[in-house]
Amino acid sequence: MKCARCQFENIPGRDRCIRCNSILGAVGAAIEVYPPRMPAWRKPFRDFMRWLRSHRVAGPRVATDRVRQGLARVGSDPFVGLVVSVVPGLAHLLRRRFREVSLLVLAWVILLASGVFLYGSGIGFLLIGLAIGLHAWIALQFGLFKEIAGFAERIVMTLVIVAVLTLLYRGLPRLLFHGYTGAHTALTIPALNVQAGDYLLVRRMVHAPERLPRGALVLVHPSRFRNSRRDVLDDERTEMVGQVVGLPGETAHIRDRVYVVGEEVLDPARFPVPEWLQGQSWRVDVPVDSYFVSSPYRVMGHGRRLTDDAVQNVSIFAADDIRGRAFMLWWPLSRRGFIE
Amino acid sequence: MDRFSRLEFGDEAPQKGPFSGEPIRDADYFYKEAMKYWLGGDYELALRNYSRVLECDQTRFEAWAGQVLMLVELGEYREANLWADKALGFFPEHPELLALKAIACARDARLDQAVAYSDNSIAKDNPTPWVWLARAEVFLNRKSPISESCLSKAVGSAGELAGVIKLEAGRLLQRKRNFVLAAQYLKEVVQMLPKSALAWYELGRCQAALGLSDAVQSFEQSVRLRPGWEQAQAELNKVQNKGFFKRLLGK
Repeated sequence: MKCARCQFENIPGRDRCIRCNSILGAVGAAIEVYPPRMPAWRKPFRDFMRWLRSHRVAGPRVATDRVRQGLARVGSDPFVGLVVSVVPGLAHLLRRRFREVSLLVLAWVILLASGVFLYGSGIGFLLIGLAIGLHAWIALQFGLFKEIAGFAERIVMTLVIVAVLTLLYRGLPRLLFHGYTGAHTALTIPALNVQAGDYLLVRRMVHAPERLPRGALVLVHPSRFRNSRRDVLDDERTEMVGQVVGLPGETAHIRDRVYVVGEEVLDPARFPVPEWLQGQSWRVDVPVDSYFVSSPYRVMGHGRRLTDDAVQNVSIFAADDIRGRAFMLWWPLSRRGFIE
Repeated sequence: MDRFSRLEFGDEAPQKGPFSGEPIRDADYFYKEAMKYWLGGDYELALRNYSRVLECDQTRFEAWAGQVLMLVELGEYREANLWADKALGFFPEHPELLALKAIACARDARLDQAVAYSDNSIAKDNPTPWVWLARAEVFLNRKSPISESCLSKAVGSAGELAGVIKLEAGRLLQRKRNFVLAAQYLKEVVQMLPKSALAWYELGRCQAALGLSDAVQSFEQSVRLRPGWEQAQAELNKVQNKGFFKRLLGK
Protein backbone atom coordinates (compact mmCIF):
# COMPACT_ATOMS: atom_id res chain seq x y z
CA MET A 1 0.00 0.00 0.00
CA LYS A 2 1.53 3.27 -1.09
CA CYS A 3 1.26 6.20 1.32
CA ALA A 4 -0.39 9.16 -0.37
CA ARG A 5 1.72 11.60 1.60
CA CYS A 6 5.27 10.22 1.49
CA GLN A 7 4.88 7.66 -1.33
CA PHE A 8 6.34 4.94 0.85
CA GLU A 9 5.34 1.40 -0.16
CA ASN A 10 3.92 -0.18 3.00
CA ILE A 11 3.14 -3.81 3.77
CA PRO A 12 -0.49 -4.63 2.88
CA GLY A 13 -2.89 -4.61 5.84
CA ARG A 14 -1.26 -1.76 7.77
CA ASP A 15 -3.42 1.10 9.07
CA ARG A 16 -0.62 3.65 9.19
CA CYS A 17 2.45 4.40 7.13
CA ILE A 18 5.69 3.09 8.59
CA ARG A 19 7.59 6.19 7.54
CA CYS A 20 5.28 9.15 8.24
CA ASN A 21 2.57 7.54 10.42
CA SER A 22 -0.24 8.87 8.23
CA ILE A 23 -3.38 6.75 8.01
CA LEU A 24 -3.50 4.41 5.04
CA GLY A 25 -7.01 3.01 5.29
CA ALA A 26 -10.17 3.41 7.30
CA VAL A 27 -9.47 3.12 11.02
CA GLY A 28 -11.28 0.40 12.91
CA ALA A 29 -13.41 2.56 15.20
CA ALA A 30 -15.90 5.04 13.82
CA ILE A 31 -14.53 8.58 13.97
CA GLU A 32 -16.35 11.88 14.11
CA VAL A 33 -16.03 13.65 10.79
CA TYR A 34 -18.19 16.68 11.55
CA PRO A 35 -16.15 19.43 13.21
CA PRO A 36 -17.29 21.27 16.34
CA ARG A 37 -19.00 24.60 15.66
CA MET A 38 -18.98 27.88 17.49
CA PRO A 39 -22.30 28.93 19.07
CA ALA A 40 -23.50 32.22 17.58
CA TRP A 41 -23.66 33.94 20.98
CA ARG A 42 -19.94 33.52 21.46
CA LYS A 43 -19.03 35.44 18.32
CA PRO A 44 -19.22 39.00 19.75
CA PHE A 45 -17.19 37.99 22.81
CA ARG A 46 -14.51 36.37 20.69
CA ASP A 47 -14.49 39.32 18.31
CA PHE A 48 -14.00 41.66 21.25
CA MET A 49 -11.17 39.58 22.71
CA ARG A 50 -9.55 39.39 19.27
CA TRP A 51 -9.84 43.15 18.97
CA LEU A 52 -8.12 43.56 22.33
CA ARG A 53 -5.37 41.14 21.36
CA SER A 54 -4.79 42.75 17.99
CA HIS A 55 -4.42 46.18 19.55
CA ARG A 56 -2.11 44.90 22.23
CA VAL A 57 0.01 43.12 19.67
CA ALA A 58 -0.04 45.78 17.01
CA GLY A 59 0.44 48.73 19.35
CA PRO A 60 4.12 48.67 20.17
CA ARG A 61 5.06 46.96 16.91
CA VAL A 62 3.62 49.54 14.59
CA ALA A 63 4.65 52.43 16.80
CA THR A 64 6.81 55.12 15.33
CA ASP A 65 10.51 55.18 15.97
CA ARG A 66 10.17 57.97 18.48
CA VAL A 67 7.68 56.01 20.54
CA ARG A 68 9.93 52.98 20.29
CA GLN A 69 12.86 54.98 21.53
CA GLY A 70 10.72 56.31 24.34
CA LEU A 71 9.69 52.83 25.33
CA ALA A 72 13.28 51.67 25.22
CA ARG A 73 14.20 54.53 27.51
CA VAL A 74 11.54 53.48 29.99
CA GLY A 75 13.31 50.15 30.18
CA SER A 76 16.86 51.41 30.34
CA ASP A 77 16.41 54.43 32.60
CA PRO A 78 14.94 53.56 35.99
CA PHE A 79 14.15 57.19 36.77
CA VAL A 80 12.06 57.56 33.63
CA GLY A 81 10.39 54.30 34.57
CA LEU A 82 9.71 55.77 37.97
CA VAL A 83 7.97 58.76 36.45
CA VAL A 84 5.88 56.52 34.21
CA SER A 85 5.00 54.49 37.30
CA VAL A 86 2.70 57.30 38.37
CA VAL A 87 0.17 54.83 37.04
CA PRO A 88 1.06 51.65 38.96
CA GLY A 89 2.41 48.97 36.64
CA LEU A 90 2.43 51.15 33.51
CA ALA A 91 6.22 51.06 33.21
CA HIS A 92 6.14 47.28 33.54
CA LEU A 93 3.33 47.08 30.99
CA LEU A 94 5.26 49.12 28.45
CA ARG A 95 8.22 46.81 28.85
CA ARG A 96 5.96 43.74 28.67
CA ARG A 97 6.85 42.77 32.21
CA PHE A 98 3.44 43.40 33.70
CA ARG A 99 3.13 39.83 34.89
CA GLU A 100 5.84 40.49 37.47
CA VAL A 101 3.69 43.03 39.28
CA SER A 102 0.19 41.99 38.21
CA LEU A 103 -0.73 40.71 41.68
CA LEU A 104 0.65 43.83 43.33
CA VAL A 105 -1.36 46.02 40.97
CA LEU A 106 -4.47 43.96 41.70
CA ALA A 107 -3.86 44.39 45.43
CA TRP A 108 -3.39 48.14 44.89
CA VAL A 109 -6.69 48.39 43.05
CA ILE A 110 -8.48 46.49 45.82
CA LEU A 111 -6.88 48.61 48.56
CA LEU A 112 -7.64 51.86 46.79
CA ALA A 113 -11.23 50.91 46.01
CA SER A 114 -11.81 49.77 49.60
CA GLY A 115 -10.17 52.96 50.89
CA VAL A 116 -12.42 55.14 48.78
CA PHE A 117 -15.46 53.14 49.81
CA LEU A 118 -14.61 53.56 53.49
CA TYR A 119 -13.27 57.11 53.09
CA GLY A 120 -13.88 59.30 56.07
CA SER A 121 -13.19 56.55 58.58
CA GLY A 122 -9.88 55.56 60.11
CA ILE A 123 -9.90 52.27 58.22
CA GLY A 124 -10.46 54.12 54.96
CA PHE A 125 -7.47 56.39 55.55
CA LEU A 126 -5.37 53.39 56.57
CA LEU A 127 -6.28 51.49 53.38
CA ILE A 128 -5.43 54.48 51.22
CA GLY A 129 -2.13 54.81 53.06
CA LEU A 130 -1.40 51.15 52.34
CA ALA A 131 -2.33 51.73 48.69
CA ILE A 132 0.21 54.57 48.55
CA GLY A 133 2.85 52.32 50.09
CA LEU A 134 2.10 49.56 47.61
CA HIS A 135 2.19 52.04 44.75
CA ALA A 136 5.61 53.19 45.91
CA TRP A 137 6.77 49.60 46.12
CA ILE A 138 5.59 48.89 42.55
CA ALA A 139 7.37 52.00 41.32
CA LEU A 140 10.54 51.07 43.13
CA GLN A 141 10.42 47.56 41.75
CA PHE A 142 11.11 48.99 38.34
CA GLY A 143 14.86 48.82 38.40
CA LEU A 144 15.50 51.56 40.95
CA PHE A 145 16.56 49.11 43.61
CA LYS A 146 19.11 47.73 41.18
CA GLU A 147 20.58 51.18 40.68
CA ILE A 148 20.75 52.13 44.35
CA ALA A 149 22.78 49.70 46.41
CA GLY A 150 23.06 51.37 49.83
CA PHE A 151 20.44 50.61 52.45
CA ALA A 152 20.19 54.19 53.70
CA GLU A 153 19.88 55.53 50.17
CA ARG A 154 17.12 53.08 49.49
CA ILE A 155 15.22 54.16 52.59
CA VAL A 156 15.61 57.83 51.68
CA MET A 157 14.49 57.17 48.12
CA THR A 158 11.50 55.20 49.35
CA LEU A 159 10.49 58.01 51.69
CA VAL A 160 10.85 60.58 48.92
CA ILE A 161 8.67 58.52 46.62
CA VAL A 162 6.06 57.97 49.33
CA ALA A 163 5.99 61.72 49.99
CA VAL A 164 5.60 62.50 46.30
CA LEU A 165 2.86 59.93 45.96
CA THR A 166 1.06 61.26 49.03
CA LEU A 167 1.01 64.70 47.45
CA LEU A 168 -0.20 63.13 44.25
CA TYR A 169 -2.98 61.25 46.01
CA ARG A 170 -4.06 64.45 47.69
CA GLY A 171 -3.87 66.59 44.58
CA LEU A 172 -5.22 64.26 41.93
CA PRO A 173 -8.70 63.74 43.43
CA ARG A 174 -9.05 67.51 43.77
CA LEU A 175 -8.20 67.83 40.11
CA LEU A 176 -10.50 65.02 39.01
CA PHE A 177 -13.41 65.87 41.32
CA HIS A 178 -12.94 69.59 41.20
CA GLY A 179 -16.51 70.45 42.13
CA TYR A 180 -16.67 68.17 45.17
CA THR A 181 -15.05 67.90 48.55
CA GLY A 182 -15.71 66.30 51.90
CA ALA A 183 -15.77 67.40 55.52
CA HIS A 184 -16.41 66.03 58.97
CA THR A 185 -19.27 67.72 60.73
CA ALA A 186 -19.52 68.73 64.38
CA LEU A 187 -23.31 69.08 64.12
CA THR A 188 -25.85 66.65 65.51
CA ILE A 189 -29.23 66.97 63.80
CA PRO A 190 -31.57 64.15 64.77
CA ALA A 191 -34.17 64.95 62.09
CA LEU A 192 -31.55 64.58 59.34
CA ASN A 193 -29.92 61.56 60.97
CA VAL A 194 -26.63 63.46 61.11
CA GLN A 195 -24.33 63.12 64.09
CA ALA A 196 -21.13 64.82 65.16
CA GLY A 197 -18.13 63.16 63.51
CA ASP A 198 -19.97 62.10 60.36
CA TYR A 199 -18.23 62.59 57.04
CA LEU A 200 -20.27 64.53 54.49
CA LEU A 201 -19.75 64.96 50.77
CA VAL A 202 -20.08 68.57 49.69
CA ARG A 203 -20.78 70.05 46.26
CA ARG A 204 -18.67 73.17 45.95
CA MET A 205 -20.25 76.45 44.92
CA VAL A 206 -18.25 78.58 42.53
CA HIS A 207 -20.68 81.48 42.66
CA ALA A 208 -22.84 82.72 45.52
CA PRO A 209 -26.08 80.73 45.72
CA GLU A 210 -29.22 82.59 44.69
CA ARG A 211 -31.12 81.47 47.76
CA LEU A 212 -30.36 78.67 50.14
CA PRO A 213 -33.24 76.94 51.92
CA ARG A 214 -33.50 77.01 55.69
CA GLY A 215 -31.90 73.90 57.15
CA ALA A 216 -29.36 73.37 54.36
CA LEU A 217 -25.98 72.07 55.53
CA VAL A 218 -23.28 74.31 54.13
CA LEU A 219 -19.51 74.48 54.15
CA VAL A 220 -18.19 77.75 55.51
CA HIS A 221 -14.75 79.20 56.09
CA PRO A 222 -14.24 80.61 59.60
CA SER A 223 -11.36 82.81 58.43
CA ARG A 224 -13.95 84.81 56.60
CA PHE A 225 -15.52 85.93 59.87
CA ARG A 226 -15.91 89.59 60.09
CA ASN A 227 -13.75 91.94 62.12
CA SER A 228 -13.25 91.43 65.83
CA ARG A 229 -13.88 87.69 65.42
CA ARG A 230 -10.76 86.82 67.36
CA ASP A 231 -12.21 88.10 70.58
CA VAL A 232 -14.91 85.43 70.36
CA LEU A 233 -13.71 82.54 68.27
CA ASP A 234 -11.12 80.02 69.35
CA ASP A 235 -11.46 77.77 66.33
CA GLU A 236 -8.61 76.89 64.03
CA ARG A 237 -10.53 74.83 61.54
CA THR A 238 -10.24 76.17 58.00
CA GLU A 239 -13.54 74.86 56.76
CA MET A 240 -16.49 73.57 58.72
CA VAL A 241 -20.04 72.44 58.21
CA GLY A 242 -22.88 74.60 59.51
CA GLN A 243 -26.64 74.77 59.17
CA VAL A 244 -28.51 77.64 57.58
CA VAL A 245 -30.98 78.94 60.18
CA GLY A 246 -31.68 82.54 59.29
CA LEU A 247 -32.29 83.73 55.75
CA PRO A 248 -31.44 87.21 54.39
CA GLY A 249 -33.51 89.98 55.96
CA GLU A 250 -34.81 87.86 58.86
CA THR A 251 -34.28 88.37 62.58
CA ALA A 252 -33.07 85.43 64.65
CA HIS A 253 -33.02 85.02 68.41
CA ILE A 254 -33.29 82.25 70.96
CA ARG A 255 -36.13 81.47 73.32
CA ASP A 256 -36.20 78.52 75.76
CA ARG A 257 -33.17 76.94 74.02
CA VAL A 258 -35.00 76.97 70.69
CA TYR A 259 -34.30 79.11 67.64
CA VAL A 260 -36.93 81.68 66.77
CA VAL A 261 -36.72 83.29 63.34
CA GLY A 262 -39.07 86.21 62.93
CA GLU A 263 -42.12 84.87 64.77
CA GLU A 264 -41.56 81.25 63.73
CA VAL A 265 -40.35 78.81 66.39
CA LEU A 266 -38.06 76.26 64.75
CA ASP A 267 -38.24 72.55 65.52
CA PRO A 268 -35.27 71.78 67.84
CA ALA A 269 -34.92 68.28 66.33
CA ARG A 270 -34.30 69.85 62.94
CA PHE A 271 -32.58 73.05 64.10
CA PRO A 272 -30.63 72.20 67.26
CA VAL A 273 -29.04 75.10 69.13
CA PRO A 274 -25.28 74.63 69.69
CA GLU A 275 -23.99 74.58 73.20
CA TRP A 276 -22.18 77.90 72.99
CA LEU A 277 -25.43 79.73 72.18
CA GLN A 278 -27.55 78.06 74.79
CA GLY A 279 -28.36 80.11 77.87
CA GLN A 280 -27.50 83.29 76.04
CA SER A 281 -29.81 86.14 75.22
CA TRP A 282 -29.26 87.74 71.84
CA ARG A 283 -31.05 88.99 68.79
CA VAL A 284 -29.44 89.21 65.38
CA ASP A 285 -30.68 90.85 62.19
CA VAL A 286 -29.48 88.92 59.12
CA PRO A 287 -28.28 91.40 56.48
CA VAL A 288 -29.30 91.11 52.85
CA ASP A 289 -27.04 88.65 50.93
CA SER A 290 -26.06 86.96 54.21
CA TYR A 291 -27.16 83.93 56.19
CA PHE A 292 -27.25 83.00 59.86
CA VAL A 293 -25.26 79.74 59.94
CA SER A 294 -25.46 77.72 63.12
CA SER A 295 -22.45 75.62 64.03
CA PRO A 296 -20.86 74.38 67.26
CA TYR A 297 -17.83 76.67 67.18
CA ARG A 298 -15.38 76.68 70.00
CA VAL A 299 -15.62 80.14 71.54
CA MET A 300 -13.27 81.89 73.90
CA GLY A 301 -14.26 82.26 77.52
CA HIS A 302 -16.78 79.46 77.52
CA GLY A 303 -19.93 80.35 79.45
CA ARG A 304 -19.43 84.10 79.40
CA ARG A 305 -22.23 86.32 78.23
CA LEU A 306 -22.10 87.13 74.55
CA THR A 307 -23.22 90.37 73.04
CA ASP A 308 -25.43 90.55 69.96
CA ASP A 309 -22.44 91.82 67.99
CA ALA A 310 -20.31 88.85 69.04
CA VAL A 311 -22.98 86.39 67.89
CA GLN A 312 -23.46 88.33 64.68
CA ASN A 313 -19.73 88.40 63.98
CA VAL A 314 -19.44 84.63 64.31
CA SER A 315 -22.69 83.35 62.85
CA ILE A 316 -23.45 85.67 59.98
CA PHE A 317 -21.86 84.72 56.65
CA ALA A 318 -22.05 86.60 53.40
CA ALA A 319 -23.42 84.43 50.59
CA ASP A 320 -20.03 84.67 48.86
CA ASP A 321 -18.35 83.06 51.84
CA ILE A 322 -20.39 79.89 51.66
CA ARG A 323 -18.12 77.36 49.96
CA GLY A 324 -20.49 74.52 49.25
CA ARG A 325 -23.52 72.54 50.20
CA ALA A 326 -23.50 69.03 51.68
CA PHE A 327 -25.53 66.54 49.68
CA MET A 328 -24.53 63.12 50.96
CA LEU A 329 -23.64 61.43 54.21
CA TRP A 330 -20.70 59.19 53.30
CA TRP A 331 -19.59 57.83 56.66
CA PRO A 332 -20.63 55.91 58.70
CA LEU A 333 -21.63 53.22 56.30
CA SER A 334 -24.80 52.30 58.20
CA ARG A 335 -26.26 55.77 57.61
CA ARG A 336 -24.84 56.40 54.14
CA GLY A 337 -27.31 58.20 51.94
CA PHE A 338 -28.35 61.49 50.41
CA ILE A 339 -29.29 64.35 52.67
CA GLU A 340 -32.77 65.60 52.06
CA MET B 1 -35.04 -0.27 -29.40
CA ASP B 2 -34.03 -3.68 -30.70
CA ARG B 3 -36.13 -6.77 -30.23
CA PHE B 4 -33.93 -8.41 -27.52
CA SER B 5 -33.41 -5.46 -25.31
CA ARG B 6 -36.00 -6.49 -22.71
CA LEU B 7 -34.76 -10.05 -22.32
CA GLU B 8 -33.27 -11.08 -18.93
CA PHE B 9 -29.90 -12.85 -18.77
CA GLY B 10 -29.20 -14.19 -15.24
CA ASP B 11 -28.40 -11.77 -12.33
CA GLU B 12 -26.06 -9.43 -14.17
CA ALA B 13 -27.30 -5.84 -14.06
CA PRO B 14 -26.95 -3.87 -17.24
CA GLN B 15 -23.74 -1.75 -17.29
CA LYS B 16 -24.36 1.96 -16.92
CA GLY B 17 -22.58 4.39 -19.12
CA PRO B 18 -20.59 7.28 -17.66
CA PHE B 19 -23.39 9.82 -18.17
CA SER B 20 -26.43 7.70 -17.54
CA GLY B 21 -28.65 8.41 -14.50
CA GLU B 22 -27.55 9.83 -11.11
CA PRO B 23 -23.85 10.45 -10.47
CA ILE B 24 -22.15 8.10 -8.03
CA ARG B 25 -21.98 9.89 -4.68
CA ASP B 26 -18.54 8.85 -3.62
CA ALA B 27 -15.70 10.77 -2.01
CA ASP B 28 -14.60 12.27 -5.32
CA TYR B 29 -18.08 13.54 -6.03
CA PHE B 30 -18.40 15.23 -2.64
CA TYR B 31 -14.90 16.63 -2.94
CA LYS B 32 -15.79 18.25 -6.24
CA GLU B 33 -18.96 19.61 -4.70
CA ALA B 34 -17.00 21.01 -1.77
CA MET B 35 -14.54 22.72 -4.11
CA LYS B 36 -17.42 24.11 -6.11
CA TYR B 37 -19.06 25.61 -3.04
CA TRP B 38 -15.77 26.92 -1.72
CA LEU B 39 -15.01 28.72 -4.97
CA GLY B 40 -18.57 29.97 -4.87
CA GLY B 41 -17.96 31.50 -1.46
CA ASP B 42 -20.45 29.23 0.32
CA TYR B 43 -18.26 28.00 3.13
CA GLU B 44 -21.02 26.29 5.10
CA LEU B 45 -21.97 23.99 2.24
CA ALA B 46 -18.33 23.44 1.39
CA LEU B 47 -17.67 22.36 4.98
CA ARG B 48 -20.62 19.98 4.87
CA ASN B 49 -19.37 18.41 1.67
CA TYR B 50 -15.86 18.00 3.02
CA SER B 51 -17.39 16.15 5.96
CA ARG B 52 -19.22 13.89 3.52
CA VAL B 53 -15.94 13.18 1.78
CA LEU B 54 -14.58 11.97 5.09
CA GLU B 55 -17.67 9.87 5.70
CA CYS B 56 -16.77 8.03 2.51
CA ASP B 57 -13.00 8.03 2.94
CA GLN B 58 -11.27 9.08 6.14
CA THR B 59 -7.86 8.96 4.51
CA ARG B 60 -8.52 11.94 2.27
CA PHE B 61 -6.14 14.57 3.57
CA GLU B 62 -7.58 17.27 1.31
CA ALA B 63 -10.93 16.92 3.05
CA TRP B 64 -9.43 17.34 6.52
CA ALA B 65 -7.47 20.36 5.37
CA GLY B 66 -10.53 21.70 3.57
CA GLN B 67 -12.59 21.44 6.74
CA VAL B 68 -9.99 23.38 8.71
CA LEU B 69 -9.80 26.03 6.00
CA MET B 70 -13.59 26.40 5.88
CA LEU B 71 -13.73 26.83 9.65
CA VAL B 72 -11.11 29.55 9.32
CA GLU B 73 -13.14 31.22 6.57
CA LEU B 74 -16.22 31.07 8.80
CA GLY B 75 -14.27 32.88 11.53
CA GLU B 76 -14.28 29.91 13.91
CA TYR B 77 -10.59 29.95 14.66
CA ARG B 78 -10.58 27.97 17.87
CA GLU B 79 -12.64 25.22 16.29
CA ALA B 80 -10.30 25.27 13.29
CA ASN B 81 -7.34 24.79 15.59
CA LEU B 82 -9.09 21.99 17.42
CA TRP B 83 -9.98 20.23 14.20
CA ALA B 84 -6.47 20.68 12.83
CA ASP B 85 -5.17 18.98 15.97
CA LYS B 86 -7.51 16.09 15.33
CA ALA B 87 -6.35 15.89 11.71
CA LEU B 88 -2.75 15.97 12.91
CA GLY B 89 -3.56 12.79 14.81
CA PHE B 90 -4.11 11.06 11.48
CA PHE B 91 -1.41 12.95 9.58
CA PRO B 92 1.28 13.69 12.16
CA GLU B 93 3.40 16.78 11.58
CA HIS B 94 1.76 17.45 8.24
CA PRO B 95 3.14 20.83 7.12
CA GLU B 96 -0.12 21.97 5.52
CA LEU B 97 -2.09 21.34 8.70
CA LEU B 98 0.51 23.24 10.66
CA ALA B 99 0.29 26.04 8.11
CA LEU B 100 -3.49 26.11 8.48
CA LYS B 101 -3.08 26.35 12.23
CA ALA B 102 -0.73 29.27 11.64
CA ILE B 103 -3.39 30.98 9.51
CA ALA B 104 -6.06 30.37 12.16
CA CYS B 105 -3.82 31.82 14.87
CA ALA B 106 -2.82 34.80 12.74
CA ARG B 107 -6.44 35.69 12.04
CA ASP B 108 -7.29 35.20 15.71
CA ALA B 109 -4.62 37.80 16.57
CA ARG B 110 -2.37 35.22 18.24
CA LEU B 111 0.74 36.21 16.37
CA ASP B 112 3.32 34.46 18.52
CA GLN B 113 1.59 31.11 18.10
CA ALA B 114 1.10 31.78 14.39
CA VAL B 115 4.81 32.39 13.93
CA ALA B 116 5.64 29.23 15.86
CA TYR B 117 3.32 27.07 13.72
CA SER B 118 4.56 28.70 10.55
CA ASP B 119 8.19 28.09 11.56
CA ASN B 120 7.33 24.48 12.29
CA SER B 121 5.58 23.97 8.98
CA ILE B 122 8.34 25.59 6.93
CA ALA B 123 10.94 23.40 8.62
CA LYS B 124 9.48 20.27 7.00
CA ASP B 125 10.70 18.93 3.65
CA ASN B 126 9.32 20.39 0.42
CA PRO B 127 7.05 23.14 1.71
CA THR B 128 3.82 23.28 -0.26
CA PRO B 129 2.22 26.49 -1.60
CA TRP B 130 -0.14 26.55 1.39
CA VAL B 131 2.83 26.62 3.72
CA TRP B 132 4.28 29.63 1.90
CA LEU B 133 0.87 31.28 1.82
CA ALA B 134 0.47 30.87 5.57
CA ARG B 135 3.93 32.29 6.11
CA ALA B 136 3.08 35.25 3.90
CA GLU B 137 -0.05 35.91 5.96
CA VAL B 138 1.84 35.70 9.24
CA PHE B 139 4.52 38.10 8.08
CA LEU B 140 1.99 40.44 6.49
CA ASN B 141 0.41 40.72 9.92
CA ARG B 142 3.80 41.70 11.27
CA LYS B 143 4.27 44.13 8.39
CA SER B 144 7.46 42.37 7.40
CA PRO B 145 8.83 42.64 3.82
CA ILE B 146 9.52 38.87 3.87
CA SER B 147 5.83 38.37 3.09
CA GLU B 148 6.30 39.42 -0.55
CA SER B 149 8.88 36.72 -1.25
CA CYS B 150 6.69 34.18 0.56
CA LEU B 151 3.79 35.10 -1.69
CA SER B 152 5.91 34.74 -4.82
CA LYS B 153 7.15 31.36 -3.63
CA ALA B 154 3.58 30.25 -2.95
CA VAL B 155 2.45 31.29 -6.42
CA GLY B 156 5.59 29.94 -8.03
CA SER B 157 5.23 26.49 -6.50
CA ALA B 158 1.47 26.28 -7.01
CA GLY B 159 1.54 24.16 -10.20
CA GLU B 160 -1.92 22.76 -10.80
CA LEU B 161 -3.27 24.72 -7.83
CA ALA B 162 -2.25 28.05 -9.36
CA GLY B 163 -5.83 29.30 -9.60
CA VAL B 164 -6.70 28.55 -5.99
CA ILE B 165 -3.38 29.78 -4.60
CA LYS B 166 -3.57 33.01 -6.56
CA LEU B 167 -7.14 33.47 -5.36
CA GLU B 168 -6.02 33.10 -1.76
CA ALA B 169 -3.02 35.35 -2.36
CA GLY B 170 -5.30 38.00 -3.86
CA ARG B 171 -7.71 37.73 -0.95
CA LEU B 172 -4.88 38.00 1.52
CA LEU B 173 -3.56 41.15 -0.14
CA GLN B 174 -7.06 42.54 -0.34
CA ARG B 175 -7.51 42.04 3.42
CA LYS B 176 -4.26 43.90 3.96
CA ARG B 177 -5.51 46.72 1.73
CA ASN B 178 -2.91 46.18 -1.00
CA PHE B 179 -5.64 46.49 -3.61
CA VAL B 180 -3.45 47.04 -6.67
CA LEU B 181 -1.46 43.82 -6.32
CA ALA B 182 -4.56 41.95 -5.18
CA ALA B 183 -6.46 43.04 -8.27
CA GLN B 184 -3.58 41.84 -10.48
CA TYR B 185 -3.71 38.38 -8.92
CA LEU B 186 -7.48 38.20 -9.01
CA LYS B 187 -7.65 39.20 -12.67
CA GLU B 188 -5.51 36.18 -13.45
CA VAL B 189 -7.70 34.06 -11.22
CA VAL B 190 -10.95 34.96 -12.98
CA GLN B 191 -9.34 33.89 -16.24
CA MET B 192 -8.25 30.57 -14.74
CA LEU B 193 -11.45 29.99 -12.72
CA PRO B 194 -14.13 31.91 -14.58
CA LYS B 195 -16.92 30.07 -12.76
CA SER B 196 -15.72 31.08 -9.31
CA ALA B 197 -18.19 33.55 -7.84
CA LEU B 198 -15.77 34.16 -4.98
CA ALA B 199 -12.99 35.25 -7.33
CA TRP B 200 -15.29 37.70 -9.13
CA TYR B 201 -16.57 39.00 -5.83
CA GLU B 202 -13.09 39.60 -4.43
CA LEU B 203 -11.99 41.20 -7.69
CA GLY B 204 -15.02 43.46 -7.51
CA ARG B 205 -14.13 44.51 -3.98
CA CYS B 206 -10.60 45.41 -5.04
CA GLN B 207 -11.87 47.34 -8.03
CA ALA B 208 -14.42 49.14 -5.88
CA ALA B 209 -11.73 50.08 -3.39
CA LEU B 210 -9.60 51.42 -6.25
CA GLY B 211 -12.55 53.39 -7.59
CA LEU B 212 -12.75 51.44 -10.83
CA SER B 213 -16.08 51.18 -12.59
CA ASP B 214 -15.28 47.58 -13.59
CA ALA B 215 -16.38 46.62 -10.10
CA VAL B 216 -19.99 46.67 -11.27
CA GLN B 217 -19.34 44.03 -13.92
CA SER B 218 -17.37 41.90 -11.48
CA PHE B 219 -20.13 41.95 -8.88
CA GLU B 220 -22.76 41.31 -11.55
CA GLN B 221 -20.81 38.29 -12.74
CA SER B 222 -20.49 37.12 -9.15
CA VAL B 223 -24.24 37.39 -8.60
CA ARG B 224 -24.89 35.68 -11.91
CA LEU B 225 -22.72 32.73 -10.92
CA ARG B 226 -24.24 32.47 -7.47
CA PRO B 227 -27.75 33.87 -7.54
CA GLY B 228 -29.05 35.13 -4.25
CA TRP B 229 -25.64 35.81 -2.71
CA GLU B 230 -26.53 38.61 -0.35
CA GLN B 231 -23.01 39.91 0.21
CA ALA B 232 -22.29 40.28 -3.48
CA GLN B 233 -25.70 41.80 -4.11
CA ALA B 234 -25.15 44.32 -1.33
CA GLU B 235 -21.75 45.26 -2.72
CA LEU B 236 -23.24 45.58 -6.18
CA ASN B 237 -25.96 47.89 -4.91
CA LYS B 238 -23.39 49.94 -3.07
CA VAL B 239 -21.20 50.31 -6.15
CA GLN B 240 -24.08 51.11 -8.45
CA ASN B 241 -25.22 53.94 -6.20
CA LYS B 242 -21.83 55.57 -6.07
CA GLY B 243 -20.68 58.63 -7.94
CA PHE B 244 -17.26 58.93 -9.54
CA PHE B 245 -15.62 60.84 -6.72
CA LYS B 246 -16.95 58.56 -4.05
CA ARG B 247 -15.60 55.59 -5.95
CA LEU B 248 -12.31 57.38 -6.48
CA LEU B 249 -11.96 58.10 -2.80
CA GLY B 250 -13.06 54.59 -1.94
CA LYS B 251 -15.78 55.80 0.41
